[in-house]
Amino acid sequence: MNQPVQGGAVVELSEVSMYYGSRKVTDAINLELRRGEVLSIVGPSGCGKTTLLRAVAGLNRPGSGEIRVDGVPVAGAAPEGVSMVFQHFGLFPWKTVEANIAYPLVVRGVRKKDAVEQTRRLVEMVGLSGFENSYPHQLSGGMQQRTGLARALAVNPRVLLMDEPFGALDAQTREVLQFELLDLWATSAVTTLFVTHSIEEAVLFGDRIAVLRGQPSSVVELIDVNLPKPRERSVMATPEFARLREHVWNLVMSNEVPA
Amino acid sequence: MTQNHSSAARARRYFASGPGHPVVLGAVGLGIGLVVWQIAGSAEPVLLSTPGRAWNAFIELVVSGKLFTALGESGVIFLIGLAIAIVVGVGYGILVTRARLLREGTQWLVYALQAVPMVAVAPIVLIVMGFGVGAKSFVVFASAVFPILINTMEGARHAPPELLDTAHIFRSSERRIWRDLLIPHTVPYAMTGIRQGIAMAFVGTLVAEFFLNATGIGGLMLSASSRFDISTVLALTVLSAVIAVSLMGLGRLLESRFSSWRGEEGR
Ligand SMILES: Nc1ncnc2c1ncn2[C@@H]1O[C@H](COP(=O)(O)OP(=O)(O)OP(=O)(O)O)[C@@H](O)[C@H]1O
Ligand SMILES: [Mg+2]
Repeated sequence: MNQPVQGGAVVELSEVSMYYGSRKVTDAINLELRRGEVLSIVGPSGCGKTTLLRAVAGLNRPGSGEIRVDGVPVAGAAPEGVSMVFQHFGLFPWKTVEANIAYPLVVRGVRKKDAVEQTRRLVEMVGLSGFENSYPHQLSGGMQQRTGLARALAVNPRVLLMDEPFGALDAQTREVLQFELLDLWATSAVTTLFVTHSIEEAVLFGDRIAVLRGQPSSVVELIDVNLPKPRERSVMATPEFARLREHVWNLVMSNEVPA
Repeated sequence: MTQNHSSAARARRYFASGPGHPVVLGAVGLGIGLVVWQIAGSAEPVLLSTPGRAWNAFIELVVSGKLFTALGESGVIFLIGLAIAIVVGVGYGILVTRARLLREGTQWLVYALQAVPMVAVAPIVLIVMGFGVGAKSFVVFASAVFPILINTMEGARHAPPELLDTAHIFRSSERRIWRDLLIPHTVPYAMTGIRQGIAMAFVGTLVAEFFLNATGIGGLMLSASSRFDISTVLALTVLSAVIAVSLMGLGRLLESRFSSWRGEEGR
C-alpha cells in the first residue's frame, strides 16, 4: 500500500476519426498503449494531436471509431483515473497551490483529513513546500506546472495525458522538469500519452513514438525506442538517441508543405 | 527629452496632491455652485430657493422626524429590490450560459425588457401589483436587475475553457463547477453589474415612490413640489445626490474588493 507503483491502464484507439463539423481532422487512427507505456506523439501543428488527447479524456467524441480504457469505451465523459496536464497549466487563479492540488480530491469527495494529508505529500513531491498558500500568479511558470503535475497525480491516475506540458517554459526550467518526470515514471508506471513539439523530448520520454501526418492525419510511423529503462538523461549522448532523433526529424520535416 | 520627462513628472505630482486633487476640485466646484445658487435664488425668490433656505427646510425635516421615517421607507424597498435583483441577476446570468435552450429561448426577451423605460411602466406595475412594499420593491428590482444580469452573462460566457476542461476531466459535478469555477470567475463581472445596479435601484426607488401612494424620500419630494415648497425639494434633491454618490462609492469599493485575486498579491 505504501508503494505507489501501479501498472496504469491499457488504452486502445481503434479506427478513431475526429471531426470539427464536417471537417475531418484525423483519419482512422489505430494505437494501442500497453500498461505503463509512454507514447510520444509528434506531428506538425494542426494535425490533430490535441484533438486526439481530448478524445481520450472524453472531452471530444470521435465521429467514428472507439477509444477504450482498460477495455471500457470512453463515451462522452471523462473515464475515472484519467488525468491531464495542460500546456498553459489550467490552474484556478483564485485557488492557492494547495487548493489547486487538492481540487480533484475535493471534487471526488475524499475526506478532508485524507485530502490534506495527500496534498501535503504531493506538494513535497513536486518541491513546492513553502508555497502552499501562494496563488498561481505569484509563481513562476515552472512552479505553476509543478502544481499542474501534482494535481494530475493526486488521483493516482491510470492514464496521464500531457499536451506540450513544458511548451510554455524556458529551456532551463524545461530540463529540470524533464528530469523530474523521468524520476516519476521510474517510481510509478503510468500509461502516458505525451504530445510534444520537441523531437528530443519525444525520444527521451517515449517507449514508442507515433508520428502523425496529413490532412486528415494518420499515423505514418510508429517507432520503437530501444533505449534502456528507467530512462536517464545520459541516453541523450548515445548514438542510438542521435539516430532516432534524425529519423523522427526527417519524418516530421518531410511533411511540412514546401514553401 | 529628459526635460520633458521631469516636467511631466512634476505636473503629475502637482495634480496628485495639491489643488488638483479630485476632492479639492470637487469642493471648489461645489462652493462656486452654492454661491451662484445663492445669488440666483435671491434674484428670483419665487422659482428658485437659496442654499440657506434649503438648509432650513432640511433641518425642519430632521427635527420633525419626517426625514428618518422617509429614509426608512425608501431604504426597505431599496434593499429588498436590490437583494432580489442580485440573487436573480447573478443566478440566472450563470444558469443561462450553462443551458443552451434556456439561453436561446430567453436572451431576446432579456434584451427587449432591458430597453423598456421603468418610469413609463412603473404606474402599470403598481396598479397591477398594488401599492404596497411588494410592488415598490418590484419596481426597484426591475430597475436594477438588467445591468447585473447582463454583466454576469458576459462574465460567465467567458469562463476559461481550460478550466472547464479541468473540471470535466476530474469529473466534477455541476454544483461544484458553479462553486469552483463559474461563481469565482463571474463575481468580478457581476460586481461591475451590481455597482451599476445600485445606481439603477436608487433611481427605481424614487420612481416607485412617485406614484399615487407616495412614500419615502420620493414621496416627501412629491408632496413638497405639489405645495411649491421649492426649498424642501432642493434640500431633498441634494440629499439624494449625496446618497447616490455614497452608494456609488460603496459599489466601487465592493467591485475592487471582489476582484482582489487578480491583483499583485492575492488575499
Ligand atoms: N474547437 C475547434 N473547432 C474547429 N476546429 C478546430 C477546433 N480545435 C481545433 N480545430 C482544428 O482542428 C485541427 C487540429 O487541431 P489540434 O489542436 O488538435 O492540432 P494540434 O496537432 O494539437 O496542433 P498544435 O501542434 O498546434 O497544438 C486544426 O486544424 C484546428 O484548426
Ligand atoms: Mg495542440
